[in-house]
Amino acid sequence: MKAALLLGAVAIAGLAGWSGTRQTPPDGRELVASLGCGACHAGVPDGEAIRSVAPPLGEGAKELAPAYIFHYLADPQTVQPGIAPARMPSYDLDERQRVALALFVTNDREMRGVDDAFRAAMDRHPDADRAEGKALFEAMNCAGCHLNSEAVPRVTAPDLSLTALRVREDWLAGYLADPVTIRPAGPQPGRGGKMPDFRLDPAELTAITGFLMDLGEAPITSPANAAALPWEPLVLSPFAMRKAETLLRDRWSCMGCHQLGDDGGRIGPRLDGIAHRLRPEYVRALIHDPAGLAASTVMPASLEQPERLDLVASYLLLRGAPWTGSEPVAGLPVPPPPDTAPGAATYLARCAPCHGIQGAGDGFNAPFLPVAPTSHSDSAAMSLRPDDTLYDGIHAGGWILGKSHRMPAFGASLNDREKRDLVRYMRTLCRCQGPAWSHDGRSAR
Amino acid sequence: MNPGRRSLPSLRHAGLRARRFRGSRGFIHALNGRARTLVAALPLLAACDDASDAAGSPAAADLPAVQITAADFVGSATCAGCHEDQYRRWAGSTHGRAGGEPGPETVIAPFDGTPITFGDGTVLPIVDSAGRYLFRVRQEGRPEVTIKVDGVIGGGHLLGGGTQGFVTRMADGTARFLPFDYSRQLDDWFCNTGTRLQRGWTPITAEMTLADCGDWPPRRVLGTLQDFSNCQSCHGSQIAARLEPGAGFETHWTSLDINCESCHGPARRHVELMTAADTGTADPADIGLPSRVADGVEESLGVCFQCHAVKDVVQDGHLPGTRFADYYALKLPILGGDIYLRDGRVSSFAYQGTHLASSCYADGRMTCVSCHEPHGLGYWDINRAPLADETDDRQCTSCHAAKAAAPETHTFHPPDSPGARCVSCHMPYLQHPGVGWAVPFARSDHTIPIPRPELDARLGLVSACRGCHTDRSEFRLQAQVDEWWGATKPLDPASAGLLAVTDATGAELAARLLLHPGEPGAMARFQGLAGFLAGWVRPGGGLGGDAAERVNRLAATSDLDVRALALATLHVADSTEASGSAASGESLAVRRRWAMILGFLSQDAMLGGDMEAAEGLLLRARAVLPGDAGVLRALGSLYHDGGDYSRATTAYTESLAADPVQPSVHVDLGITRAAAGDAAGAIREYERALSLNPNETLAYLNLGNVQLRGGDLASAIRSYERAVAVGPEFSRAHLNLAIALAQAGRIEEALPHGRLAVEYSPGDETARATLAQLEAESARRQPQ
Repeated sequence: MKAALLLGAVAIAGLAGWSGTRQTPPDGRELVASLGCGACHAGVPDGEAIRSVAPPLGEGAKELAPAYIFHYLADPQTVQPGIAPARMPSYDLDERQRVALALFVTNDREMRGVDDAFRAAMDRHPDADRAEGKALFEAMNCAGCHLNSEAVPRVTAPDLSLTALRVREDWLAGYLADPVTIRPAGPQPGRGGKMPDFRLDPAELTAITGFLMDLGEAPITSPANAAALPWEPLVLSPFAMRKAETLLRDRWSCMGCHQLGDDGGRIGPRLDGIAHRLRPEYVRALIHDPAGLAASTVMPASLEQPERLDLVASYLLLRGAPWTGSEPVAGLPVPPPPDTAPGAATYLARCAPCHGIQGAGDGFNAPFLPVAPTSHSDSAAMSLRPDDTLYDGIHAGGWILGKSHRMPAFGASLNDREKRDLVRYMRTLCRCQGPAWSHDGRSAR
Repeated sequence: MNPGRRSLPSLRHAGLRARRFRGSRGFIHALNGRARTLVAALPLLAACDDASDAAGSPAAADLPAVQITAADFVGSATCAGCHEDQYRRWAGSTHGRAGGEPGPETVIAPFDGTPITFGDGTVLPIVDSAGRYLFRVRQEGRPEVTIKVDGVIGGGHLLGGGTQGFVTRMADGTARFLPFDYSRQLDDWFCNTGTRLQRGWTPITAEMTLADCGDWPPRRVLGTLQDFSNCQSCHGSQIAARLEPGAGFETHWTSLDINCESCHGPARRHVELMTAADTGTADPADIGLPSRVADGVEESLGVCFQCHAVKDVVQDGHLPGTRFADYYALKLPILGGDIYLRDGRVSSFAYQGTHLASSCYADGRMTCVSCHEPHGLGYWDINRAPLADETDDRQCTSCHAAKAAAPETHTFHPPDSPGARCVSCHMPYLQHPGVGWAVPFARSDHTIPIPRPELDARLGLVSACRGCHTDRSEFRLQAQVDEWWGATKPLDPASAGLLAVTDATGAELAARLLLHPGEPGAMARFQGLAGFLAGWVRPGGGLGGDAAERVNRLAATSDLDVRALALATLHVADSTEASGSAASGESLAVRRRWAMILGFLSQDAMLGGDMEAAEGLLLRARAVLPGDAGVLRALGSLYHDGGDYSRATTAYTESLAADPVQPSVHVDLGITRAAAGDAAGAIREYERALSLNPNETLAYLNLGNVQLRGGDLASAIRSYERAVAVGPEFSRAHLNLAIALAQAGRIEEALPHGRLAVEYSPGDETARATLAQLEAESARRQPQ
């Protein structure tokens, strides 16, 4: 145990020297850079700084003992406190995750320094292996800070240059002090990942919050302008509130991805109490044009009319509910290796959360839907459905096909080529074609 | 509920009666004339015994548990106070301009004194100095009749043929359609010849007589009433006609446009809640009206199909805000005849109910408001983006986006040409054959079919291709379709089955062809099952294995009509008449439909002369709806026809016990008593009928018959005179009056009534013979 701790201390000695007692208030910009926020978030200095000080892991971490990693991950800052403004944050990992990660990042077959606690943990989780650790490593974007030949850093977390447009300052300070899960399946749905806890002290919280809220000077794109314009929720009568809720629950697709109360999907952030977290302008602008504010979002732009979008935005903001964050989704499947087939990436991002990676209707979000998602791998059923019907469903959503209204319409978010590619990809999943009559005569020849 | 009589009120608009479903095996439409018209044999003139008359069609009716009344509606002007934008759009819409009080704003027909010329008279439409809109009817030898227009129906708005009609309030409390209609496209007057000449809608010419117009004298009432042809509640808002026992008829309407509450339901409570300082309701979201946004597909369709579909009345008393399915059945009219072709398209007259046969509804969720913006009645896409007009492709492509991405690969027509518009091929305007071909009344085909030129021609339709390419044969057109699109989407299996079966098809194959419980299209499922029941199911004959399994699955469907038809089919096939134990677990809405279907079948058997089967079917209906006044009345009628006056008396009496306000059942009972030789008892029943309805024509007529048979000629003449006074359109009353007057030696007074009897029932040979005899007698009496 002691040997392991020493090894760890050697590895991050470069960051030592910060005493933990500060004479002057910390600078928010420097703090954000030092903490490596840009390793996951856009809109702030990128993660180069943190990657220069955080130890490489994997092939470069052979000197680390797996037992050390196992214990270290349980509470990094207790094991290694006060080392710098930069620090390993806590991911609130469970024992199995720590075993798997320890095995992945050390790849130590000799199991140096194994102690009783680690051995007992491995006995409790005999299936937790290196592959699982790798998936976790990717999901948590560990490579954002720790270089690793087997994982690529991904900047998927919200663009912090929009912080002032997005969130309420009072919420942000509380959140940074005690981060909870916002997106139950991670910023890229199905990969997991979440905002870790840096255990910031009050001065740091003040500095970072102030810095992020001042980032509004960043170039503002057109949709962001909409988010910057003051807007208050519409005054809604109880009747209008009920009407909006009916739209949300029974007609629109929002709750295919978002949870509201006990109902709804687990892809996007929970909608309860968003007025405590997000500014009304941002909620409205995001509902009107999600990709305009968050380019990488899987949330489709609605085809509905603006006044009805405002109705629902107002409902969500006026609805009296506390903000609680979300329960993380457990047991997320391991994302497949990148597939360059046309439509594959879109399918993985937009369809697989419900329909499953192989299209079997078993995506991680499926249990949270009132109607089982269509199995795209069911050759017999899919053979009856024309390509145009698949296309139309992608475009206009499940409602128009007499299927689940919680299947969104992607018509405003995918172009014709992307929709056709998706249909072609779905045909590879079912290994089938649509019915013969569905192919036009001359045009098919 | 009225299993004793089919009710297809919407068809009456076209003056139609539905025909058999398929050949000799088919179902029948309503039996009219349950009440008999008896007259004593005359030495001079032929007797008219037990004849029926189209006007004498009293219907039994449940008194519905109506919780909504006319007083619950406030009218659109009240809505305008708060909902200005919606009101403005509505006021300019075809609903907002659908009719109203006569005036320059509402009347498009020329009320300028230009005569409408018949062969036997003229009709002058004028506006008098007081601004009243009038028809002056002038016929030689008859007093001039002036009819005041009290209501204008329609504004001639519709593209495929817009018309305008007129109603007048009658002394008996009814409001009746006048037979002078106007076509905007023809810019001419026309009338419905349906009940007499059977030529549909016909422009009025000097070759016609006034009585060639089936609604002359006016007989078609607004609202649903016993004894009258009617147009339900669709030519205005909250039209409610009712019999006030002992007083007469009352006809109410909020307005003759289609107002806000026609769709939203009664708003009085809404207005009260919205204007009250303290609503006092436990639910703050309760505004006294439901939000239409919460409507499912069926609820949404039910709003529009209150008027825009042919339907059978399951229960009288519908008003907006009540549950559609409790009052109307959309598919039961299929049993009566040829309203729809076997693929669901219109074969006679059917409004937009054909939507139910569209794939967009059956396989998707399309409702009327998917394309029609409900306030201004413009067009919008599935996401409510406004569209320019009814030809805008985005009505379709907002769902069928794949077709929009590369339209030329689908349309094969130049992009800006009419042929490239979705609706040109998939929603062509088709004349509704039920009104004939002389007056434009084409409606866009809401089955949204795929053009199949050869099949279309085989079904007697002008295919969409043929509509433009008039120079090409169906063969060439089909060849072009085949080349461009290859095989087209198959028809619904039940529709295909209906096209495939013949009278020679065996039951096993017929079951496979016609019974498709797993298919989504309820309309086709119903049509297929109806065909199977009509052709391959016999009372007590059982069902083969595969058929039984399929019908049982159909009986488990959620669609009320399909479910009821399947339950009725099982019940018919069952050998035990009183069976139907499944009925106890079914809703009243299903049981009413089920019993209606058995009633239809009973009528079919009765017309076919199989009284035993007819009785068995009605006993089944009684098992499904015990104590139902309509079933009991139908049983009474059946027993009467079979000469079993004792059981007829019992059944009628039970019917009256179940529903005492049935003047026409008192008439029926009186006829039975008279037939059993109880003249005094008969007179008592007629008097009871008249105490309930002082305008009960059949009571006067049959009272006159008993009096005539009893030798009381003077009383008989008085009764007949009363009959023609309250029912001037009633030819049999004129005939019997003529006979009675002739018996009294008053030949010259008898002659005009003899002529009217022939005029109003030109096909009545008895009337013709009577008139001939009267004229001969008159001539004989003329001084030489």
